[in-house]
Amino acid sequence: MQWLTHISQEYERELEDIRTKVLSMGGLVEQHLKMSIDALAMSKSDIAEEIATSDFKVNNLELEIDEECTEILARRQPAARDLRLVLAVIKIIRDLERIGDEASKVSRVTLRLINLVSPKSYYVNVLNIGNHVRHMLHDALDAFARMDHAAAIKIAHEDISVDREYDAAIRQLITYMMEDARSITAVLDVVWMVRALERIGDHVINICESIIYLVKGKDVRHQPLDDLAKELQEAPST
Amino acid sequence: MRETEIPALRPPMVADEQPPVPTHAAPLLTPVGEGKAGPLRGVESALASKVVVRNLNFYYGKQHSLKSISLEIPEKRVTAFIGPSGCGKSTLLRTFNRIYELYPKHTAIGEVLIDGMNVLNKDYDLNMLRSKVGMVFQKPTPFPMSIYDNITFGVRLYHKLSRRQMDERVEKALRRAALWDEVKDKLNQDGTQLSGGQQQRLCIARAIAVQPEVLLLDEPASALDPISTLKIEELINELKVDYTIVIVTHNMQQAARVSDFTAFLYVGNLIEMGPTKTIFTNPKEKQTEDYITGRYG
Repeated sequence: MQWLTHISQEYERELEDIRTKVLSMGGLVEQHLKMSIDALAMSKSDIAEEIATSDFKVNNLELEIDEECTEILARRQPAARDLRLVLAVIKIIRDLERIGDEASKVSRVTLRLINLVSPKSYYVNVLNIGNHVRHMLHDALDAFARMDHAAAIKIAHEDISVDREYDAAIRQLITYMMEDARSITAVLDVVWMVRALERIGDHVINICESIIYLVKGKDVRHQPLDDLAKELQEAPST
Repeated sequence: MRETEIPALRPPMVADEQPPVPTHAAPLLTPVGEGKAGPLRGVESALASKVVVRNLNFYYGKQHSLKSISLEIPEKRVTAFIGPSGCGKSTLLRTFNRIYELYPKHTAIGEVLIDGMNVLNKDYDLNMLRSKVGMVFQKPTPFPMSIYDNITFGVRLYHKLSRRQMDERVEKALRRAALWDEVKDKLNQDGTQLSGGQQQRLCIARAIAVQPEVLLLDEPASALDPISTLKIEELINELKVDYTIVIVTHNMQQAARVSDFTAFLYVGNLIEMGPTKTIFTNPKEKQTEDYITGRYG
């Protein structure tokens, strides 16, 4: 659909700017997440160290984009989809910043696990869940770039399988702890990692909800997923 | 101190009575049905329509300025007409009190029903219409007479009131227009001596003194400074309790602030009408969205 541009080119640029910056921030967070999972998989403490201390870059981007959004709201009084874009961006960067935090957490725990010389079997589940949510994040950022609400809904549905994987992992880890009390320290660390990854999955869902709001103008938070698809079929297409 | 019993608002709930479980928040007022706005289908029956426009066409000579407009103005709410210059919003407004009849070759064909009666009908008494439908213009138009006489001028056309009754009317109108405190000691002063914002409030007081049911405001704040503008907007918010208000404005943010419903017109066509909140967060028509976001071809 052919969209006209604003009469104010500067306004147009400002909106484009926050979109681009969100994708940059998303890319950075995705990279941090990948590196933290790789560090665990390959027992690379130097990579883990780097991620554990790089969170500030993500935080700075959050502050920067927040400030730009505030300025747009104050000066431009955006309406309709411009307003929804700004509101969605403010929410998305919050979720991205939290994902960055959780990735940092994974790296910090990885450093402890490497020191404890834990068997790979403890954390093989972590790698699976980690890659799963990483792909979800990648797809969500893609969906934001393409303003694709259908893709966002699909990604949101994956939350169910992440929850299942999480439950299975926790059960397995409890088994390890019951089998050998000496493993508890290390296994507890793995539990924290799995929780962090499950939380990342939740944040990706939030991002998908923001994308749906941005594209369709419907606030779909706190709604069961099955109602979602039905409700969106009734909404007008943009 | 005696404890007064507060009357219950509803009968006390019986054990097996459950309060209704709210479903996922549905909007109280659903926007008008697809595309071209028709009458307010879907707007809950709690809102009656004060003015119903049906297939209204308007011609300035040969120029077809309003093209088959159909819409409904909800009672005791503020409805804003927005759209680019020349879209017909003022034209539409001026059919509601037939003020266009002052000019030759201005023709309206169709129906404008107020309380179910077509006011465009030649048999509809124009004086009665003008007492029912008041109008305030962009440029304040105080009469060159005292503030007091400004208010009573219209009232005198319709009612024979005692001096005391007239005084009461004047005070009531000026209070309602948030002007009383500023002018109560100088009611004999010429109306044209007031500031722009005060003059406009005088015009509003004058309009409501005849106790109309509908108030038409044609860009009432365009000629005023920001503070006066906000005061007028505040006033409109208070007045809608008693009057059905229709406002034409080219200031979109004003329409967003002040109105409950917004109708977007473009080149004589009604493109979309709906609750203001919906129009400004998620309009149905791309044209509407382009206009309110500042995207022009």
